[in-house]
Amino acid sequence: MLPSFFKATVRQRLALWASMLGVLACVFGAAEFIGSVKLSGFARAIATHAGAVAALSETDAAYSRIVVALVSDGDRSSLAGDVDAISVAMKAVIARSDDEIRARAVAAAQGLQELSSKLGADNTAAREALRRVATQRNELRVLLNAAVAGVSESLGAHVESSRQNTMLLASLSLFLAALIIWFEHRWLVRPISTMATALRVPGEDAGWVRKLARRGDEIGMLGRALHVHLSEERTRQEAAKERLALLAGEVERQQALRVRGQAFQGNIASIATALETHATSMTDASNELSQLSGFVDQHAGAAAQSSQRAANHVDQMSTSLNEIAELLATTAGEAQRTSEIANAAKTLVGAATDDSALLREAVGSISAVVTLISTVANQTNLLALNATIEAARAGESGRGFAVVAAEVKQLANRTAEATEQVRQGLDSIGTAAERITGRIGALVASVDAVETSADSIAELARRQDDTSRSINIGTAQAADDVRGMAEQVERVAGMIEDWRKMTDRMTQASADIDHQAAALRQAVDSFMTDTQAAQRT
Amino acid sequence: MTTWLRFSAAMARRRRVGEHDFPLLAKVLHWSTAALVLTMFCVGVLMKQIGSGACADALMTFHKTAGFLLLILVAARITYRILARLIGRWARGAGDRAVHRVLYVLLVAIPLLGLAGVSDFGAREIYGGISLPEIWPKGAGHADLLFLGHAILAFALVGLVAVHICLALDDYIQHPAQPAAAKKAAAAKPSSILQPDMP
Repeated sequence: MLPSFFKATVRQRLALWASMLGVLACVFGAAEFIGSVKLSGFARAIATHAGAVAALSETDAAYSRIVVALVSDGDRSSLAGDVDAISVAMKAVIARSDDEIRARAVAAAQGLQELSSKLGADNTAAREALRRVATQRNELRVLLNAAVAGVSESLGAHVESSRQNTMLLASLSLFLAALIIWFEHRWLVRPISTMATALRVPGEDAGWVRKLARRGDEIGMLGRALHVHLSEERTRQEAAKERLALLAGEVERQQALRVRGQAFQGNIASIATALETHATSMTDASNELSQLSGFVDQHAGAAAQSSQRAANHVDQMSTSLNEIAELLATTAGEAQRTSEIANAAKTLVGAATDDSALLREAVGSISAVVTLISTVANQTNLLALNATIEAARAGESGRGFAVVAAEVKQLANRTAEATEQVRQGLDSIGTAAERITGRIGALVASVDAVETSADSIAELARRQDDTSRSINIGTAQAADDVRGMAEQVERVAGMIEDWRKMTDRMTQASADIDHQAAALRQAVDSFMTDTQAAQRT
Repeated sequence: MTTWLRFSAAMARRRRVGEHDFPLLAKVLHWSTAALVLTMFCVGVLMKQIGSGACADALMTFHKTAGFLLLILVAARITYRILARLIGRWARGAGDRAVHRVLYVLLVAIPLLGLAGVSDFGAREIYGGISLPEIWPKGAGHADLLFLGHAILAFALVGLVAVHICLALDDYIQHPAQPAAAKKAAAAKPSSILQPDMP
């Protein structure tokens, strides 16, 4: 719907807003002008009507004098002046008024002229003319009051209408201004701030800038320029970043080469140093070896003689060991015999143990017999007591029996004493038999200990014999080894002579290595110096 | 549902963007309506301010005549729009915002309110000795109220016209039309920047 020339540029938009607000302002101004014109009209009308009313009011005194004079038949000589004054006032009303008021005022003026002409006539005619004048005067007053009321009413309606118009126009203007400000902020301020952000932080709000660049107004021109600028800036940044990356790579490569070269130089220097050190060490070692070989050769002969002597000493030690073995065999035989004796003693002790058991049994049998005898003695004693009692009961006839019973009782008592003594002797025998049994047990333990010791001695003697035999064999082997060692020492002496010759050759080779290491160090140093000089250039 | 609404809104915007060229008759009707509304707004304000007198009566007669013409014009626009849409010459979405609907409602309601007021007031005569149809009982005593509603809605209509102008400009600025050459270029290279004509 928009015309083709309208591209909604900022200038055209401003012209549009100016025209819209201008139309509103013109309408508002015209309404205010009309209102002021109308207000002045209302003021004039009110002033006119108020002046007419005032003019009429000023003639009220004259009118009253005329009425009093005519009604009370008073003096009429001064009434002509009053009528003339009222006529002048009426003419003033005629001059100020128009339409109906003017016509009514003209009629009132004519009535006044009629009243003036009839002042000299009779009272009836004069009073009739006065009545007409009074009627016309009252009607004129009513008309004037109605006119004032009408003007006031119109003025109120105009003020109300003007107030409504002013309020609506002001509201519309404010709404329009707010609308313009909001949309212009959307179209103008926000894009500018967006572009400022894009300029400040490249890459941010790029989509907004592309969108702005499609617009057809000044913001679109600015957006396109900014887009081009940002694109070029991005291209420059990318190119600079690529160059920076290349330079960084080159620097890194040069650095790596320098580090590797320095490491290589250091390695070569350390190798050369090591070669020189080793060559020196080899030379020293060769010299020392040469000296040592002579010394060793000298001592090898002494070692061979010492080995021979050691072999003789070993043979003598072997002979001594054989003698020790024979002694140990004798000890073993003695221990064996001791063991046999102990076994015999153990057999004897066993027999003694059996005998002591038989003795305890015999003592027990005797004790049983003694107990039996004691029991018989007790019963005999009881029988003697009964016989004594029976003898006493029999009296004189039983006196002899009482003597016999007393004898029997004594016999029984003696038997009891004898059995008690036998029992004590048997207890002593039993105690002695118990002691014998205990001592036999101790003897058995001692015999067992002797047997065990004899067995241990025999075992130790056998082991010692075996050990001495092993030592003897080892000693013989040691003697053979010592002899072999003497032969080896002699061979080593020959090898040391060959070694000394070889150390002479090593000394020459180490000197040659020393020269070669120095030459290598010099060559690498000169190469690294040339390379670094070439890199700096 | 939301996706469909977004899609239809995007399609409507695309159609609007590509179809700024309305039929000539639509343009004539649109700008005639705009001129009439602006004229009647100014005349109405001044007429109300004058209040009474011959000048006010003349302006009133002109206002009534122009209002009647505006009512006929709006009816013709609505009819044309419906017919054009039915025959496919009016793209759905072109000027299809809610603002337009409210505008059409006000463009019909305001003249009808004025006609009701003059019917009540009893002054339905316009130029050519034509008397407008009476749609309100004469002397019902609601003339002042009807005129007040007429005036308030007229000011609201002018404010809405301003919103309509701003939205149209916003659409034009934010979604500028692509010339044919630019469309081809955009189809060939979507990321290229369009270069609309500048004054």
